[in-house]
Amino acid sequence: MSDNPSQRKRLPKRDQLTPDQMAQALHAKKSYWPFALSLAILVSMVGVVTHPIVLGVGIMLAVVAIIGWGLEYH
Amino acid sequence: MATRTIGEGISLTRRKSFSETYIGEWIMTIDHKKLGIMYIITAFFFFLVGGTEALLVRTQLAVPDGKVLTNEIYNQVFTMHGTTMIFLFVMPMLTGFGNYVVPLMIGARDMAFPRLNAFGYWVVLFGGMFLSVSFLFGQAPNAGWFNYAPLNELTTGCGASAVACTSGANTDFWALGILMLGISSIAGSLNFVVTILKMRAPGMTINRMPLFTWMVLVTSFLLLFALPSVTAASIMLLLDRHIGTHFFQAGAGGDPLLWQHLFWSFGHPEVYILILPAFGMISEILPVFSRKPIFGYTFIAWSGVAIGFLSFTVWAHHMFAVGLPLVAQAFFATSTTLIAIPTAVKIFNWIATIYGGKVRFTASMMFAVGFIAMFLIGGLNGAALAVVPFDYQVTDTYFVISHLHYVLFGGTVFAVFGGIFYWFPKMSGRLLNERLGKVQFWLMLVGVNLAFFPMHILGLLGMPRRVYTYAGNLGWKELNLLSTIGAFIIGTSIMVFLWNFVVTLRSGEKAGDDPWDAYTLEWDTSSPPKAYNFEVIPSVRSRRPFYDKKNPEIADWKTATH
Repeated sequence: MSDNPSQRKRLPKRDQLTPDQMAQALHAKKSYWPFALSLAILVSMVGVVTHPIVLGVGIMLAVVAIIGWGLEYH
Repeated sequence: MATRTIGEGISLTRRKSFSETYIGEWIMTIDHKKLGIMYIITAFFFFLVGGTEALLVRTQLAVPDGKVLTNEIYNQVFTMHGTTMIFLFVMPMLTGFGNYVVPLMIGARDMAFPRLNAFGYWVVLFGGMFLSVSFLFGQAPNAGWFNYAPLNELTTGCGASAVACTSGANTDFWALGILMLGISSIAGSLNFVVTILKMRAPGMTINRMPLFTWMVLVTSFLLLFALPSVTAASIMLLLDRHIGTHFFQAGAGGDPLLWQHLFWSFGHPEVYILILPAFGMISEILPVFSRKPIFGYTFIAWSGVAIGFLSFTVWAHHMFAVGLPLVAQAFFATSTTLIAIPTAVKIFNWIATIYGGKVRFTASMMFAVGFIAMFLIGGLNGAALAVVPFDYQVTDTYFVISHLHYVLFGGTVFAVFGGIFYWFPKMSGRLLNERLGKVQFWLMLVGVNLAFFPMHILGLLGMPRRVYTYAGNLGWKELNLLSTIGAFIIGTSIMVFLWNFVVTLRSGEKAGDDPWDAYTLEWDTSSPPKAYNFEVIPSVRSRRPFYDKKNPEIADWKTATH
């Protein structure tokens, strides 16, 4: 249902981990694909008001970002 | 002769990866708290942009025959003022609070879909940039925040393409920007629904959820059901403009009223999307500073749901003047009046919460009480607009402008500042200066009433909205000048807040983890909370779990039946 593993994990003993390690253990990993996909959408929208080539570039970037997002940890 | 060993001279420190740099940290973050803060800062930036546009509008209208802006620039400025305030300030601001507070309130460690959450934020930022950059090309949207067709459409003799008549990209910027912001809102709403329904702490039943969480849930459903109509309308508009379809062109068999129906069937639920989370904030702030549990929890929660349902049945009250059939007018007048009932239920419950409490008038509480008063004015003049013959007289006049500003500024913006003063210590670990907060409150209260109350009279005197100037002999000039003075007083109050913000970040008083002696779970964390929020997911036995923890001998669960 959810891609957030944090609710399912038991917290390791506090004295065994630093706060950073604890955060890492409980959180989904950081990702730049959300940023990349939204940037691709922006380029596509700019393409609609400027030139079809820019629109094409935007759509290609969006496809790459979606695939990258999907395959990030595979 | 000295010999060198392997590894000598090689640095043992690893070079930081991009994700570990300061910028990379923020770009790649999926932490709901960081994203919440990013939403709030972005929204506040756009609040300043939209506020500047408002001051330009008011400067233009301060005196008759104003020459500050040309008519075309005025159209762009007032259109972008509405668009910015609604789509780029209020919505992201409320989403930001939801992002930051909701997972903490329900005892979760993050949102259900953290990456989708990050995606939603970046789309808002880029969508806002896209809309705002249109000014640089001299082609900012210019047909009002509701972008009425056929104002932006093909007219007789322009051939097949609407662009031939409205040759700029103004309308395209609006339609595409709204599409982008819609994508973000859908992503955010889905995330809130799943988070709230699936990730609550053990024991937190629906009937024990904090009321802010309740209202965010209702708002998320509203967005999911309301956004498709404006998305469809925007796509149809783009097709009309670029492909040669005629959805909204009467001359070619289309219907300009179709735009109004599609837009307002989104646009009126949108009003509640903008106010329901504010109701939730007020429902959190009032009990804490009245030292009482909220009065009528169940009524407040379910009246929010009732407002949500009814909000889909009232859209055509924006269209009484277009010549709707009498039956339709009667239906929409009735449903609009009905929606006042659950709204009044909330107001009575808030007043009952304060009544008999040990009230602490902090800045946050003052904004919450100010909200009730201002929203009440906005609600009452809204009910007046539900009366069809009266609406005929004042439709598209400054009376309507007054109504919507009492609701959205006197209502939502007051609640937002109440929320900022309330949750800022949790976010930053520091208390905003109370004295400056109270100065800001009084300035804002005076400014709002001076700016927006005269607009009632201007509307009754017949001043139409959207006009860029007016003649001096119409009896409108004194009221317009008053209104402009009020707008600048509001601007001054925002400057006071910015000063307070900077001073607090530099040398503000340390807040501690629970500066307000509050009731809900977000205060059971450090200020600011750790990345993982809770070391141990808390168990909940009543509606005030943190109060129970602090007062085990008189805990709510010992006496409560919910």
